[in-house]
Amino acid sequence: MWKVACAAAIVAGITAAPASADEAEDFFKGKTLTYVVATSPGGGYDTYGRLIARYLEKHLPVSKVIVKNIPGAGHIVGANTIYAAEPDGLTIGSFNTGLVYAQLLELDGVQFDLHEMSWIGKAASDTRSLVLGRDSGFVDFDAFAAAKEPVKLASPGVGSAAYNDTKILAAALNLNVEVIPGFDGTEGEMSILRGEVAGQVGTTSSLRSFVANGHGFYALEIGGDGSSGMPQAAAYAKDDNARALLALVEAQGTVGRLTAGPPGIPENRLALLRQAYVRALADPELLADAKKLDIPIAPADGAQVATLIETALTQSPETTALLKHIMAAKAPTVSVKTELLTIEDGGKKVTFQSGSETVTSNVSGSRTQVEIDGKAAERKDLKAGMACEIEYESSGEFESKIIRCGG
Amino acid sequence: MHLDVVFSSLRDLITSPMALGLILLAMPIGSFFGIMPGLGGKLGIVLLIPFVFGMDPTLGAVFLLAMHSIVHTGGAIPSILFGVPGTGPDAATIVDGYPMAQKGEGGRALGAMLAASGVGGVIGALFLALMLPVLEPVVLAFGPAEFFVLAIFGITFIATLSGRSLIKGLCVGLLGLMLACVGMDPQTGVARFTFGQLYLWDGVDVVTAVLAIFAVPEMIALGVKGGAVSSAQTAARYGFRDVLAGMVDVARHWGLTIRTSIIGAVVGLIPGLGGDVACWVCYGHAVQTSKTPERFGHGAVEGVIAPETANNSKEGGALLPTLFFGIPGSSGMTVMIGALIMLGIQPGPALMIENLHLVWTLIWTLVIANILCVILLLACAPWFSRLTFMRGSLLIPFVFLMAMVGSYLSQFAWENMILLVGIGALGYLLYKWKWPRPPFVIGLVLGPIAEDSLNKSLALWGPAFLLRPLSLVMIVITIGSVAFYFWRRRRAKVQVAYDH
Repeated sequence: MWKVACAAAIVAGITAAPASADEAEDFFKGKTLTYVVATSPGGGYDTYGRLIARYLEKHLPVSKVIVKNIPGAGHIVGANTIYAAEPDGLTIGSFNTGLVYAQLLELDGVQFDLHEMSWIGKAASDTRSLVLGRDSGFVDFDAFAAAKEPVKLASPGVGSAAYNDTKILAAALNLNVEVIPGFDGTEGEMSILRGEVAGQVGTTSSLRSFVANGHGFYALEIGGDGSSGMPQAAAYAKDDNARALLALVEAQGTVGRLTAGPPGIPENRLALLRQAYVRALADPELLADAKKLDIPIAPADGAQVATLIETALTQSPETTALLKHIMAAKAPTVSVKTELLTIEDGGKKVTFQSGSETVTSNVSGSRTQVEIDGKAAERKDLKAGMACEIEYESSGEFESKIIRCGG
Repeated sequence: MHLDVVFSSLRDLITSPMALGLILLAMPIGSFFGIMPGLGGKLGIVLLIPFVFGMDPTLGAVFLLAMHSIVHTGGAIPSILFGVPGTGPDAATIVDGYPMAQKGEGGRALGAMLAASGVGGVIGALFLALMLPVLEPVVLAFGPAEFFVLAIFGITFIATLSGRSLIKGLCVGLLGLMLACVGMDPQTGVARFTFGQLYLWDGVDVVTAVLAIFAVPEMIALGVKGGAVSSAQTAARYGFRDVLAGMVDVARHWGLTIRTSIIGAVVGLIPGLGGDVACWVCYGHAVQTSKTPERFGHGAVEGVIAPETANNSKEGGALLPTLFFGIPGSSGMTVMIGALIMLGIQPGPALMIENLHLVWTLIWTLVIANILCVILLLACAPWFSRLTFMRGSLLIPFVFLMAMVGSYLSQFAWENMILLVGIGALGYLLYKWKWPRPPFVIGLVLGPIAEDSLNKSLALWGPAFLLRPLSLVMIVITIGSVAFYFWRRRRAKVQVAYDH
């Protein structure tokens, strides 16, 4: 009895040994692979997806590769779907690399974990650039950066990747910009043409025809190998925080049009998928098709993508906090321990020294939290000369959030 | 502009059997995408791209454009016959087209629709041709401020479409506006009214809402009533004569036809407004300019003519910013641009200079496709309209199925089914208690445009945006339009009092 059990265990051990590449081939033979595109039909991701799907079918032993469009919530629904799919290697797909932001900022609705995804490859590099309108009044980036008045830039809706890119660039390089969100698709370009905004940040390729038609020029590029000849953002970064932020944007530019599968795809099948992907993207017919479609191809395999994504997701707590700060719709706040100099209007305005500046801050009856000697108090109880810890907004009315005074 | 290119392009088009063959092939394809609810021209282009890949650029562009430009002609057929919109912009045709079918005038409605579509399409092409020299300043004149005032203008049409009770219309319209708030707010990144559902982040799907509020109640009502769509007894004497009568109607209302064609083309020209806006604005215009507005909603043929001319003329208008700015005039054009680039045609101002021949070929394609489509569908119209005499028990399940498929395909989201049922129930209640339904769609469609434009305008100019010249002009028009509406109602009441 015992011997039979032992023998059975050994046999089980052998058959459960890691399957081979042949097993992977056999598995895919005759099956249908589903390639999920996280957008609706038409558009960049769909074009790349369909092209890649066609050639994956050629280089994989599967009988068919079908493209399935699962749009919604800015690629999040598609990414969720890919993440939750059966990890047998028969469902893979593509979504916006900008979802890195979604994960870093812990957005609602995110049900995926990019750390865990099975990365198959990426098809293009698409750096981000700042494009300024021909009639914007700026001849180059230096003029733009030196602007005294806030410069208006258009961007898609809050939460979109391009919006995040714009805010991060502005924060990293200390640019005096006002971002106007809500300009989806090519609305931003129209807005530049109408002279409402000076420019916008977007992917270099999507803005190419705008520039080619003479409506604007590339003022700055974030990332890339410098071969484009555009001024590089990295040159303007003044400190480590700035460099870290720019690196995040650059990483996304490098990993464009990625393809991934759910976590847990068996090693051998993933290896086969990666291999097929690389072959597909090196196929001269694919490259010819891509040329006709006018879409650039700059592939990298799954392992490289995994490394790049990991780097992008690994941000110091400082940078993550900075990111959340930048993305918040509210103005960043400043904290200072100081003495109240003057009180006006029954406590509605207080003046104090903050560093080298004298700040006049609004005190709200409802929004500002006032404490004196550890007890909740009203703004009319504030007196000149009190030593207080004040947290206030760094722009606009400099409204105070918290005023804690020690008598 | 060199006149010889105008005619040489026509000559080349007509004498090319390949081109004519492709246009002919595009007719049934475009009609199919129009007739099947929820599919639409955009999906048509997407699905045809693999077949067009590798074709001669001109031929490929001709084929796709021919297909796309007649989608709304076919799309009005289920609107009229079953009260099921084939595409979003065809919903306005339901309001009067379907009651006509119910009265047994389905053939006449179809005839009017076909003639209107044909005329609209041709005028749209003409508009495209005439606007070529002055395009840039016109398109650039419309910014967020103007969009906002235009949206408000559209929303005031709620008043005109409310039938007898303004209050009911406003309530329904505001309900639509409320539903329009569902989704991710682009200004703050906050998900509103989504109840934690990722599916609702992109808002309520307009195609589903339109199908639900129009098609579902009609089918339920039909089931409750029993019988066939058309309650008219005489199925016999029927066919081509009725259809012809409808076409004569278009000639009779030639002023309205031409006006709404131009309005449709202008709305199509302005990127960002979209097809839904064009048809409702023109429908409202028809109501406003009619001497007997109370007929609308009960089978007034002008209610079919106005939106249908706009549906087709807007295609001509939308082509303008698409070809010359590479900026899509409508969502269908977004895909068209991708297709054109794939064919090797680069949209942009250079096109005017380097390839005027292609531009004129496309203009002529619009003309030929629209005329050809009318002729072809005309031949089939009498058979189509006999469907209205079909038993409800056969029709209803089929229509429900079409509605569900269309609703699902719109976003590839099964949750749309639930939405279809929910809004469908609401629609039935509105129908039962005789509350108007068009204002709901207006609120739903124009709400996001109004809010988005308002936010942008305030961010760009502050409240002073209302004082921009074009905005001021449109504010005046809006106030005038509302005042005119109230004046008319008062006059009607006085008339009634006088008659007594």
